[in-house]
Amino acid sequence: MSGQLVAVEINQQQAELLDRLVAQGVGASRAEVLRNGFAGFCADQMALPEPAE
Amino acid sequence: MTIRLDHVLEPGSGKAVEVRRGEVVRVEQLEGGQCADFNAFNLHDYREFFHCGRTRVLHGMFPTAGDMLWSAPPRERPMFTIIADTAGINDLSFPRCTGVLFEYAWGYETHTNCQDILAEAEREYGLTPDDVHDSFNLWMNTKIDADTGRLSVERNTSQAGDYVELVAHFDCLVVVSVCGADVFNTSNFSLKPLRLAVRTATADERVEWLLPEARRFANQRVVEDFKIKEIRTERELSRDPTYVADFPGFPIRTTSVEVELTDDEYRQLEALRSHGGFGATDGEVLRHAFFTWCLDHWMQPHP
Repeated sequence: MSGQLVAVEINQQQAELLDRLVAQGVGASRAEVLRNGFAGFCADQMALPEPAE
Repeated sequence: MTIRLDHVLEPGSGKAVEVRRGEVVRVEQLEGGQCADFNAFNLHDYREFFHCGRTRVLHGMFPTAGDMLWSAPPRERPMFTIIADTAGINDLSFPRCTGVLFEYAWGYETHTNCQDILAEAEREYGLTPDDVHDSFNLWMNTKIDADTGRLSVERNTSQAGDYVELVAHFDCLVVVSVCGADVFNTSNFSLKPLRLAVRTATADERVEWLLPEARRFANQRVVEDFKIKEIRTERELSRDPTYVADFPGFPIRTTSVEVELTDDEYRQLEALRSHGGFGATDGEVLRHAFFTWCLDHWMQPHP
């Protein structure tokens, strides 16, 4: 994949959560978990209804 | 079903009663339209007591049948479940009324108020006015203005015979006062008696409502976990010269994770950043999006 690299600062507690999500199969690494979560967030946003005019 | 206590709370009074695990405390309207203030303590450790804030966050501002009353952190466990609520106008937003309130608002030198009533009732068990805590307000018909956040009290719509029943998950001291506010709308500008009763739960109620006794989270701190186990008796505070800070999880250390996004994904990230509200940098926006997604999909619902 040739794309943009984004550096995400996390602390040790957030890293612990990422590691648990890796163990649960959300992604193969912390970076992949972050990326999959970002994609999930974007998909959730797309699924939201359009605001009323 | 055995009724162990059946007591009429006269206006201007309150009562402290022991409610054991598996017993049901019932507060009942005799005439209707009367607010009651409810305090509760662990009978075996009075420093564990009912907490409006935790209960409010978990069950909302107006708890009713099916909701639980929680004890304060660091114990933070269910004390009671509301198993019946015939009127459904309870409140967790207002603090208990106090003598000071009636003094500054109306000029009273003496006036019935829940702080003093609860304190006097709790004195039967050696508790002091400092031990009174904010109440679960039974039959207090409150409203919140969605725009300003301001609170108001509406007319009390409870009727004679309305009741609230709560089953205790561990041994508690329950203290109930007939709210003394007669110059506010809380009890329709008159003070009326209430019935306070304690009975054993039926077999069906125990099966439906009573939580397992051994339930505990590792982070529910109990006295054995405390670095200082004794309850202070001196009122003056002074610094411990031997104190060394020992905060859990401290120090916070940060690390950087490089996330590779496709061009499409990066365009989405740029759109979020330019939209505002997600962070100033690419990393902040991605972190915001990720943890928001986690909250929606991975956080465990509260027990």
